[in-house]
Amino acid sequence: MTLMNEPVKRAEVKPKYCRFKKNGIKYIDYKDPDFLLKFINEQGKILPRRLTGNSWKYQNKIAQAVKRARHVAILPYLADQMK
Amino acid sequence: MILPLFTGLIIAICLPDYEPFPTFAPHFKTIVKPMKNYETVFILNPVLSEDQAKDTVEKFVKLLTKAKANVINVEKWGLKKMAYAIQNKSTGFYNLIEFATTDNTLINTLETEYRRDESVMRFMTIVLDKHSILYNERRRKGEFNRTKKQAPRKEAAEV
Repeated sequence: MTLMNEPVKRAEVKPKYCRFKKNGIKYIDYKDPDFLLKFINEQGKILPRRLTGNSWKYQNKIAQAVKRARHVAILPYLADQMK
Repeated sequence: MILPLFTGLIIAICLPDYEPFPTFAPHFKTIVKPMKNYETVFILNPVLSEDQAKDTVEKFVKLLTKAKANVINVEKWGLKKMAYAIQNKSTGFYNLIEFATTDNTLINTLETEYRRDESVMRFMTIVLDKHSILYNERRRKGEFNRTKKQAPRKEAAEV
């Protein structure tokens, strides 16, 4: 039971990384919905950092950008099937 | 405790070339206002004709140029479908204005003007930092239409 939520082969688990740090992206544009779709789930909720692997700094910027996009109706506040 | 506050003031008055911003005494009111870049997006009512929509955009651009703001970019995205209904309407004319100004009260006057105009359904004004200014310059040249979308997509498959 204790192993239920843990991967069996630990060596295969890739270490997470922040794609913004790795690629040198400094600014996240709220006007680009296709890019922001990667960081929200089907209901339009922002994905947590433990899933996206973003650093704290860029996760905050993602959240800011998604919220701005929602305000100007580029992204929905709530949705059933986004993807 | 009060003494060190006033010594700065006394020295400031004695000095001939006194620049209050930003290093010397940050608690003073700034005389030299910094130039800031802003970006404003607003959605116009789809009931308007295209000419009317153009006129309203021009009205706001004029308001900015009258206030001596430096209008960098005006974009009309045209009639776009919105992600959710605003005022029971599913589409709207999206417009974007990018400008730079030293006058920090201009945003207030611009936004009151937005509120007065009934054809503006939604608006948002944000300050741009140095990264976003660079980004917007590259976006204007059309660099991101191909390159930026491809790069992260490969990683998304890995995650």
